[in-house]
Amino acid sequence: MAKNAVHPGMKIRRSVGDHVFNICNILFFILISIIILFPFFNIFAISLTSNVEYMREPFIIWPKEPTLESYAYIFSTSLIPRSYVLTILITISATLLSTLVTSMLAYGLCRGDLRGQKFFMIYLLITMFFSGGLIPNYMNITKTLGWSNNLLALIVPNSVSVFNFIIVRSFFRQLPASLEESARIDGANEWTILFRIIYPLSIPTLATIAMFVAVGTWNSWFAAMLYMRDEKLFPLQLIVRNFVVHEARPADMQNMEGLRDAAGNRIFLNETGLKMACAVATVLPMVIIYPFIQKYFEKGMTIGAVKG
Amino acid sequence: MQASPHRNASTTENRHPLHVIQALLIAGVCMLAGGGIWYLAITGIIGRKKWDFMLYGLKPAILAGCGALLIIGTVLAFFLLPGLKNWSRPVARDLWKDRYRYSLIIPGLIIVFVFSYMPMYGIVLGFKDYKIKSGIIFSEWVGMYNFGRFFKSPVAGQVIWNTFFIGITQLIITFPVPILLALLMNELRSTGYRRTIQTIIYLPHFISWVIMYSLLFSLFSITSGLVNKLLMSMGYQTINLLSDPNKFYGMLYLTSIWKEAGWGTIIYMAAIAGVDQEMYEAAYLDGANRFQQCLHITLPSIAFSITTMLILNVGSIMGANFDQIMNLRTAATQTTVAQVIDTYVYDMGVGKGQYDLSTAIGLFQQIVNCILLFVSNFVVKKMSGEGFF
Repeated sequence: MAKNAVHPGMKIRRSVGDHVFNICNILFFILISIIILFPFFNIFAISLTSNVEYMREPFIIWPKEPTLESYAYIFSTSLIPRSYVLTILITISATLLSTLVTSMLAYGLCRGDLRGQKFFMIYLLITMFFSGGLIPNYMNITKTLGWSNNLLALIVPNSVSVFNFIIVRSFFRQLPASLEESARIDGANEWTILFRIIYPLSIPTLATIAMFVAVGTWNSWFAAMLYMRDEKLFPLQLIVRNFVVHEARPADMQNMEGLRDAAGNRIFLNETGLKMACAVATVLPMVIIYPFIQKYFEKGMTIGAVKG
Repeated sequence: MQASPHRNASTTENRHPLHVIQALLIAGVCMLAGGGIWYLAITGIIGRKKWDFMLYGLKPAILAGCGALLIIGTVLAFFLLPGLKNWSRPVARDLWKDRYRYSLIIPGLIIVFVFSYMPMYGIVLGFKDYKIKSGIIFSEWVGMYNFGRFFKSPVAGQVIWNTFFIGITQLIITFPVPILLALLMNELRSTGYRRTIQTIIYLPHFISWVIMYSLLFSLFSITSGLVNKLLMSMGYQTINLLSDPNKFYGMLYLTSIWKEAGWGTIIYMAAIAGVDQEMYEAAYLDGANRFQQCLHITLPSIAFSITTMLILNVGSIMGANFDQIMNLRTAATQTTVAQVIDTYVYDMGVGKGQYDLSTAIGLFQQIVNCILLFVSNFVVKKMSGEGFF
């Protein structure tokens, strides 16, 4: 009764068809939820399955003897833990840089009275329609800047997003100009105003674009595939991609002969389980923080759709 | 520029000096650009790394140098000559007043320049025969040769067809799903339940296509996928979803719907939330049932959002699914049904090192994309009086 609330005093007749529809609708969405959640459950289940059980059972919904050996192995290699730290560092620095630069740009251009304003806006908007393309970008970063195997190539290039710029700018424009005026009379310059007055007022909006950037960076693999040659510098997504999509086990995981259990017997690990353990490790942070950041995303999407 | 010096200058004064200044600046920019283009052109015509700079390169260099000097000189003269103070003073005052704001936008402008504008120079590769030892600048001009090479090659037709076919069919098939979902979701009576459903159906948007492939692999891998194991244990034929060329498009549509349909409802849910509740009450009093209310109130009120989203999507049918195809294609599909322009550019360029050819193909795609985008924006503008850019 939340949405189509009729006047409280009015009695609503519910037909049988109405009830049937409601029940079908609820069941339909339960079905959809299962379709969406089951694959996640499934990769988690596989990652917990031992090789013996995986080979023996015709199919497994949930392992009878869940084991963490796949996780123990991938975290015992140096590759995955290092890549984890690396991916987190890349995500954090890309997010900070992008949010900072984009919001500074948006604030500088939020009132339409800067000399050259129109030029700067066109200068930024052109990049939405036209770019060098894959190869010119690739050559710019590898040849001109020489950033092969340099983590900067994963952090800096996309740090100014015109889409985010528009979101932040339209928010800044709604703030009353009197705020800035009074601060300016008190002798504050634009940097002080931005950091002391504007930022505290725009935390939800900044969080929105920060989340966009963070999720995008966490999920990106293509830039790393182009610019990183050294497996030590691969972010998690690229490792999972090589491992699962290309079925190429990371160099660091080649040597599994030395694995022994407590009794000295050789352990055979579940290959699919290893892959899925990597995938779970990659997707887990996202799934955990996702409920907390969801509202920012909805907000960003709505602003972007109205103003974008 | 709206804030031209004219506005602040007193109107009775003679305006000639400003016109001269403007003309000088334009001339300077033209000379600079002309020198650059000349230099670039001549290096490509000579086409070798060791060349006689004094013979070929000096003249364009001098031209560009003069242009730069002219610009600097004009700017200095404008601000320093006592006779021009009347015009330059307001400009200088504004620049000085806004110095902190300029310093705020400079980092962003530099990043955009380095990562968006500098690569544009590389587009000349599309018109050159690229040799690694010569570099971009000294490789020979070949005109439209690379474009011809692409369009004459047997794969071109298929690649272009695939791109449009996938783009258009994917749009047609996936586009209505979020609308239906939003309409049905709107009929859920309990707010708490609806919030939970929203949280769940937005989730797939937040995972990468790499993970998406992992999920598919865990279900549909021929040897170890759960669905196939289940089918096998029940004695049925297994489904080769991942690498059967005939099922590739179906997989694209289904994964797009699975991953993005829920997320796509956000816009429509926001539009539905803005519908005036009294309309439903009035409709109810007039005896409209829920289906009629949905058809005659909810749907028309989100019609604008629907058209807008449709047009926006049309603008990007050519290259919206690079990430998806890169991760879902396999050895069996990647040279046939799954080869679109984007992936072809990647395969030829990064894979085979044919930088010139793939730059040309990329340029072709960008131009088509641009046209689509401008046409769709034009339609939106006509429709709503307000474009997106």
